[in-house]
Amino acid sequence: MALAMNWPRSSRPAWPHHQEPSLGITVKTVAALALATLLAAPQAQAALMTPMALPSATQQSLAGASLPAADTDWTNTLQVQQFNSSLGTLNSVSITLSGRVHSEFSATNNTNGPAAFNNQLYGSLQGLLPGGSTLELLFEGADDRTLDGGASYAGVVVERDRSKQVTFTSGLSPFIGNGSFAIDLMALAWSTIDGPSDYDMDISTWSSASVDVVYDYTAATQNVPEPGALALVGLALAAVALTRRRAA
Amino acid sequence: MNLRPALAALLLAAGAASAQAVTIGAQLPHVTSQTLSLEASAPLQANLSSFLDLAKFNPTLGTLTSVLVELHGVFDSTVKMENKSSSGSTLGATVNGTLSLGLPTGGALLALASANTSFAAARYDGTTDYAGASGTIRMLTGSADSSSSFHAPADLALFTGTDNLHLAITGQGSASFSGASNRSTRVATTTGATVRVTYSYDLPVITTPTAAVPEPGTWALMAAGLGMVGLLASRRRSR
Repeated sequence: MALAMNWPRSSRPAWPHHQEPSLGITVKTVAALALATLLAAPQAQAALMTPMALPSATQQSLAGASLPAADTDWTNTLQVQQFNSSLGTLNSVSITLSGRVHSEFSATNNTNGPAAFNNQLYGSLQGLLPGGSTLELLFEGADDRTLDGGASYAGVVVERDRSKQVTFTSGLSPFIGNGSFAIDLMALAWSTIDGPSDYDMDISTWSSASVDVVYDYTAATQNVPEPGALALVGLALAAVALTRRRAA
Repeated sequence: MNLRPALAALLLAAGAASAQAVTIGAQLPHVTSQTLSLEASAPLQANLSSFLDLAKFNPTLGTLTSVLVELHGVFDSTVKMENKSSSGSTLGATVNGTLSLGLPTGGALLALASANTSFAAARYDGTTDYAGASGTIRMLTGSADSSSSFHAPADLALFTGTDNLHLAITGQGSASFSGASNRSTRVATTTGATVRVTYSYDLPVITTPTAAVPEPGTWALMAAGLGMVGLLASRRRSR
């Protein structure tokens, strides 16, 4: 979704009621109006600065999608909204893939003495991006503990979060349009358990994934605010002139 | 004349007999080596930790020259694996067994055995029964041998006596599993051992007065021979 930019919102509320001063307006009213205009001007200017200051200023539009947690291993496809070219010219696309792998271990030591349990978890989340490149997250976690003979544990959690970003500045056409582009995801989780000669061990693992996309673009509408700003200045000058003439 | 060949033959026979007797006498002081093997076993069991009793070498048998201790270890594991992942996975299991035999000389004799298996499991079939396409039960067996021998008098003394060797035997195992990270695994292991102790020893030396013995016989033989010659001569003369 395109981010709503500051300028249309902040420039709007100051004006609708005062934009068209009536002919029967008093000097005081006009003077107050001029003052208000001058006071408001820096504010408006500040608000207008972002899109107006430099013709080459870029803006950002965000998109994203996520998948809920699912037992590994899984494959799925995320659909992410494309960049709407009516917003402007797309300069670059940054894609951040974030993932979480969550494992729960439960074990019973069936020997008659204390024993070490070493659980090692490995996971990967791979995203196949438009254009054939991939983003891969690697997860690694461990849990080492000792259980007395005959003792159990349950719900021991090993959880890891990872994210990785890639930015494209060329080959952007797959990201432009009114629909969506696809990211094929594959989540794998693998683990090794070391324990004594007699034990029970259950492992369950899920992983989740999300994609955040930032479209960096040069706005096509950057010259629109200018007439409004000029009108504002002109109005202020006219108000001052009118005040002076009436005073003279 | 018949006398001369007959006499010569007798003398030759007497000489040969004499030489033979001396040779036998020279061999007698040589010692004879013997071996004695004893065995004890611990049957397959979980958490093996016990003692094996074996008789020490009885010094009245002779002189102990060396001791060989041999350890044969065995383990049996039942391995259960169920893939609970939503996709197929190869599940692997490895069992390592370590058997330790305490030695009277201090230290331990170790026998290490290992066995492994892998199972190409299909996606979870919905039942954790260690059967079907996603589960399995496997038997893993491993065995190992090791030995140690002793020659030093100080070590041999520890194996000598009229009582028993009381040797501690312990079995320790470890099992590891690998595969897709949604699964249930079980392992149960029994361990057993056989210990054989072989005593090599020399029989007691029996000393015999070898040099004096043959001489009377030789002279007696000579006398008998000469007597025979004389008898033949007298008979011929009397005829």
